[in-house]
Amino acid sequence: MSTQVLTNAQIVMGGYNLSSDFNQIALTETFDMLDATCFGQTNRIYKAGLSRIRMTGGGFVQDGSGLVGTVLYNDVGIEDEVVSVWPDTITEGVFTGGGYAFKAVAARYTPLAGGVGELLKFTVEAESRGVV
Amino acid sequence: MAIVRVAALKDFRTNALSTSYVSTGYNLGPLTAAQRLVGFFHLTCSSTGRTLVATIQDSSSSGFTTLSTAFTFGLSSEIGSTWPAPVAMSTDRQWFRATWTMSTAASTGGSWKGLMGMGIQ
Repeated sequence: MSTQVLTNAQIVMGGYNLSSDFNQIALTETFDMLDATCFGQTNRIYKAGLSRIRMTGGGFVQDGSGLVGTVLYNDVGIEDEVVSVWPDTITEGVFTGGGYAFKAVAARYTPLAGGVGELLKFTVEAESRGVV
Repeated sequence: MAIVRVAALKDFRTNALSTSYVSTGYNLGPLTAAQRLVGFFHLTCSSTGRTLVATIQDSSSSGFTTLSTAFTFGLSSEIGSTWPAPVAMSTDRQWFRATWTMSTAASTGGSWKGLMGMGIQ
């Protein structure tokens, strides 16, 4: 697959399609690095521990029923929401170039950010719920 | 929990469903004995008082002559999302499709919007 320009990412959180409200998105999977170094070693030795998934994103605030500001305000702290993120327009029936999903809790929401003269911005972070 | 790469079986976020239907079957398997099938459903718009039953079916053949229901989703009248417990399945199951059935009890049909998909974990 060739390189992609991120122009039409799809973001669906719980029961809301928020794709057109975001202008940045990142999805990260990490593992705790457990230090397993013992005497006699000349380098640090690490083992992979527990994993976590984090989605971070942001865009411009819109408030009102069903709009992103209100949805995320009500969403933060809610457990067991499904978050799915897709790099481009969704094509049914393929994994290639497809999306990623995880069961999440919206862990952090910043409803108000920006500098003088800028559009009001939000940022949101969702973390993996850990139970599947 | 690792992140799951997923494929959409039916994306109806824009064009609402208003009739019962069976989606195209997709060859997305098979799973190995160690893998599990993940199903998820975002319901972004619903009709109060109507009933929607949505499922993901699996089969060993494209014609779905012998099929099983891997997941039945419980969302029907309230927007939200669901991710049932992943399931193991026979290694000959490689075809998957989405189905949905609308309530016929009401005199006028309802309409639903959302996104249904699957992944392999």
